[in-house]
Amino acid sequence: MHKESPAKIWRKFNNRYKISGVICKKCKKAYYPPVEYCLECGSTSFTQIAFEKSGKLISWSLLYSVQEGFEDSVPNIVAIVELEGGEKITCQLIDVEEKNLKYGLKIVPTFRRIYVAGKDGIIHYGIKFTKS
Amino acid sequence: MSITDKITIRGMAMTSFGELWDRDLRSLATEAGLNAIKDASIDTDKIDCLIVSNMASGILSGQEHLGALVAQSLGLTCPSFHIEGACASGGLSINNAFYLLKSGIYKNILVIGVEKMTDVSTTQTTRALAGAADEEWESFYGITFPSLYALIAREHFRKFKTTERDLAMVSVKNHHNGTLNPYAHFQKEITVDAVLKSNPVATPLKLLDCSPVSDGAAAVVLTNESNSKYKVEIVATQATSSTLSVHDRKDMTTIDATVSAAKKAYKASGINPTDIDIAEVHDCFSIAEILAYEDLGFVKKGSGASLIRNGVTNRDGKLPVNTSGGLKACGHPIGATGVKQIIEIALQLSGNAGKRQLNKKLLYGLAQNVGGSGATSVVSILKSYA
Repeated sequence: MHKESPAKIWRKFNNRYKISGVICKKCKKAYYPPVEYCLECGSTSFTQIAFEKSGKLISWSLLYSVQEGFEDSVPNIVAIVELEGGEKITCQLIDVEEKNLKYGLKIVPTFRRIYVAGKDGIIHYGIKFTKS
Repeated sequence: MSITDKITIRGMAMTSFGELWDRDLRSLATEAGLNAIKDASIDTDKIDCLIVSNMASGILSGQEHLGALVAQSLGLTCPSFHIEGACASGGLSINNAFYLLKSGIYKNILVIGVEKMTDVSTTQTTRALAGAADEEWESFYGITFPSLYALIAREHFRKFKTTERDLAMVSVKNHHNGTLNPYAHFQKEITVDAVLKSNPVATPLKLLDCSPVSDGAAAVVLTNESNSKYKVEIVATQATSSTLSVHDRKDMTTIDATVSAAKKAYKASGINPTDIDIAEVHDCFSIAEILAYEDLGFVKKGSGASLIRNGVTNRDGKLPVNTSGGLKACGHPIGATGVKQIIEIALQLSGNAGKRQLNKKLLYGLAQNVGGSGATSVVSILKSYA
């Protein structure tokens, strides 16, 4: 079973729990997921910003053959969504019926359990998306 | 023997690909390596560098340090090391061997690609392979490789009207080719209906759209010495990188790394896509072969399905693709795949492909090996100089 150290999860709290990314101090380009180095201007100075906002569905897949740890969530609906600022991210969709899945569907973030790392492992939480 | 400008194939060998319950990592690598050296008709001590291509032996077999492991099995004391670039490990290894030989430092490099995948459960294999995606921003959410290609496929369907039937035709073609390859994991025909009715893995991709989990090894001896064995040279090999995550690409339906590697490889060879007589492309999923047709410049973006619909890439078509059976039917032991592609092209160009030998004159062949969902791509162009 895949396990992670508490420190690894703690380090990721901001990103995983709040969809927080970064904005370049120099050229103001916003990144989600966050980066260490601005590909636009070469700066390494960033301010953290929260992106918690809605977006639209670009592509999706109902996943029947899942990774270790995701056996309880078959089918797992994974998706690429475009946030309002144009940033694209990979995520899970929840509480959307298959017949309602379509390109451009308006979606909003929601805080959920992502997976449980076995009987004595850590419960991983994070952001999923659902229809608005 | 004198050193030439040509980097040529001196020897090659592969094991059967498949679920090889009685074989382990070491025995597969050793068999392929020994047979490639034997095929090259040189003494083992003439091998002056060993490169082992492998993706995930640490997780799948609990074994790292593969250079030394395989060197010991073959009785080699030359430099040995392991190259990893996910599913493009084999192509990257060939690429590195090519430039090491060009440098003149070594004369005969043995490249062995190997993967032992069936000793762990399917979910563990899926997890190991997911390591080729972005661990924090893709895999954490349960993303698997079939689902990444499924996301790309759905966007290709929307933008270009490609259909599930088109994808099924890719699998049917590659399975047909596999029936002629005695080393292939699957050597039986399938039908479009069977593909369409197979169980969903990651919609819209179904079981028969996906390459299998295979064990196997493939090895080549490359040289810069004059040799007249196969009269096949590697004229160019180019490797490029793109974003690890699909969501970071400007166009989800384009593997940028393949586009740029192909352009550089055509330029270095002084040829155009229309000069290619045969290709082995990275059909890890059926959609990936359609993307390859487009990104390698065989057709314009969005028209990939037309090649499969019109039979252009069939064995008897104008541009046969994946005569080995491809990843789909020949099997996909990750580290071995890119090396196997080079072997298939070299066998066809030299007229040594047995009952699957194409019945026409072949001058240029191309191999495209992709790592992850497209973060690494290696395009190599081989030429017959017979």
